[in-house]
Amino acid sequence: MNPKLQRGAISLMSVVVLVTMLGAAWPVLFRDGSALAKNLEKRVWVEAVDDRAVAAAMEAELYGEEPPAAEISTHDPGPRIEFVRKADRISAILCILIAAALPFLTRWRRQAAWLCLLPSLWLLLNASAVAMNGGKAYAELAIPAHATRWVLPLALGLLVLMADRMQYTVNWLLRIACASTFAIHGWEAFQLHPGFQDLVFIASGQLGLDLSTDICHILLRGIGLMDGLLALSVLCIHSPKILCWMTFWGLVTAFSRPLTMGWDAWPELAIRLANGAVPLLIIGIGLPALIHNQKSRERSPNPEPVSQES
Amino acid sequence: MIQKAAPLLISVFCSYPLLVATAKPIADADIPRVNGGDLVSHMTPLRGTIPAQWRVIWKGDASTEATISWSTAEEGSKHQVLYGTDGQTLDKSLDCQVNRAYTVNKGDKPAYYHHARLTGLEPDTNYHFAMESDGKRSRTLYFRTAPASGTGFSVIHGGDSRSGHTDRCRMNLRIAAIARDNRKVLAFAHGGDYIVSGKVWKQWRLWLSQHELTTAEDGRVLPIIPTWGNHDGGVLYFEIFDLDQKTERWHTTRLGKDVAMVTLDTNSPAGGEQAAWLEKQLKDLRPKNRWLMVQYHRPMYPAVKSPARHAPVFCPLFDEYGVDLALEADGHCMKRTVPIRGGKAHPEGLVYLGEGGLGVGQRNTDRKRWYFQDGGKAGSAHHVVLLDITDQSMRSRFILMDGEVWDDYTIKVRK
Repeated sequence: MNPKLQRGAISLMSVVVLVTMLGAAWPVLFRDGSALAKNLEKRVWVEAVDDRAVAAAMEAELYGEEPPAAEISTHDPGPRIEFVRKADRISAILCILIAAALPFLTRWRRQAAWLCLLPSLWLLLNASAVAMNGGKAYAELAIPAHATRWVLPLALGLLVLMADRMQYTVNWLLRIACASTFAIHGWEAFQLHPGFQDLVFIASGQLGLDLSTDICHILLRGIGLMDGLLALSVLCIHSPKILCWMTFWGLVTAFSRPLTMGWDAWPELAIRLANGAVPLLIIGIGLPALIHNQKSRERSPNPEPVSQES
Repeated sequence: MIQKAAPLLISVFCSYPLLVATAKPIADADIPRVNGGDLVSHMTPLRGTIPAQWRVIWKGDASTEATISWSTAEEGSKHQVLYGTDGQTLDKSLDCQVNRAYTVNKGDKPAYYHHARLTGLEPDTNYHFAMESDGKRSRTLYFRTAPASGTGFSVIHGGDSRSGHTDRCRMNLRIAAIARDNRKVLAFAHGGDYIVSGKVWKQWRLWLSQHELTTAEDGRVLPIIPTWGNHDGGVLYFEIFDLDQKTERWHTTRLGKDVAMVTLDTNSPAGGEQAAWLEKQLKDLRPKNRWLMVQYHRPMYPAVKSPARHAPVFCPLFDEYGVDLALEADGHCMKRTVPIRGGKAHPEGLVYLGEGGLGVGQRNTDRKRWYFQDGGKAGSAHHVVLLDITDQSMRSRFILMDGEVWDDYTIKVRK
């Protein structure tokens, strides 16, 4: 990767990471908190009211199940819940500050790029909390579905720290994250995710089209298939045209949230910006995918990634 | 010795449900302090074919129809409900139309549900009933059908009982206390999120047993009008509430000719079939009903979270057809918005209230949102909403666990 392109890629990544963090932190600072905090709050509360012991005592009496091992003991969850909420706000602010300051910090000292691990970890933990909390369609698939957003800060850190040696690794990190996000969203679309159906219904309504449920289902199944093929293609071939389409499609789906829900839903766009940015970055890095013939080698600006890595 | 003792043992065994029914009542003032573990004696054990976990379900015409449902631990062979308008003689009987096994999880003990779908009931009438499975009979309970027309009755609304067993039981006791003190309360509309994970039978099993606590001391059962919450996914919700998984995710309950409650599903897409159905229902119901209410799980004007994705589809329809009240849950808090129309405060607008506090831990609300300014309200406490419906007005009161009233608001009937 030439230095100019590399600087461009790093700048783009820095901006997207910052916007993603702003979108992810918005509910923490102004709404109901992160998924992680909700999960921890629930755990603290359930433990404080000793829900398991109460349930076990009832189950023993009513259904002949094993009696609880210990007596019911309750305490006030207030201070610990307050601590979780404060910690949630502090970690969100810290992640925003890191994302905002990173371009300046890394110019001063390259090792500061290690700080990228924090936003990455925070986003990953939140994805796992979404999966654990449940209550949303396909919540259990949140970790692979959110891959672009939590992998991007990690890829940024690696690229800043060791650009010369890590391009190959970053290329694959981004490709796998992109494939994972597209594949899961494709699967959800193919399975007719209710939220996606509403995006289609509301968007078509805004365009003055009265879409039938059948047409909506056909559209979503088509989109699901397309996303699946795109996920496969990003792993298998390096095609800038396909990656451009993925960038466009990633941005369309991200923008569909505020366009259908109103601009109050801008955080929904912000956290999905990485879905469009990652394919663009893959084009910028320009390294081949699994299958690369002579033609793609010629097209690729850096045809010997393995030797560079070693 | 054994021969002598046998009749005594049999009589004690047969009267077990009666013993359960006569457990010492809990004083009103003690409700917020009662220990969950101490309430077991107020619930019926799920053993053999003893009818347990009863509920009366309303959907469709609540003046003339009701489903009486219960559970048994063993499959049994004959399940019937004995009923009548006289508490002394249950002169009618109906065999359950549905007797099936619950979809329990691997390794769980089996359990069975029984639905007796009663039709042709007299409006505005007390129906006494006893459930009988293979000769084991429950105590006699009763419910009141909705009037054929007119108002003058009350409905309780509440949601989110998904965690906090003790508080869930306390709120159930509060519901029973409200029903005891206010003879006009007809039904209990549950806004969804009964339990944490709708696919886990053990969680439903406990919810069902604890739901018995909503029965008033004199045996009055409040028919439940169910809503599907985002944590209630899976087939068990439909098995428990005798709903068809394909056609009854959204449904209308008519409380006589003058009051209708449309139940929507915020797990399904808002657009397409549901939107078309909703528009047709509202178009049909609005001219005929003095009061038209909607209930669903995810809030359109939330106090904690972001608005449901259904808002751009549902709210314009609510506005167009002049819905009188929207009952919401999911947020784990309390709220009443200012009247809203077209996304703005409007004197002729629709009030959105509720958000769920039937046991689940409460969250902090964002009171700065525009729809809580100049008359709206938001807070956090376990609660139910009591709706007193008369010809000229509908009064909503948030009743807390200790019986205190947090909010008292009256809506005038639309001209």
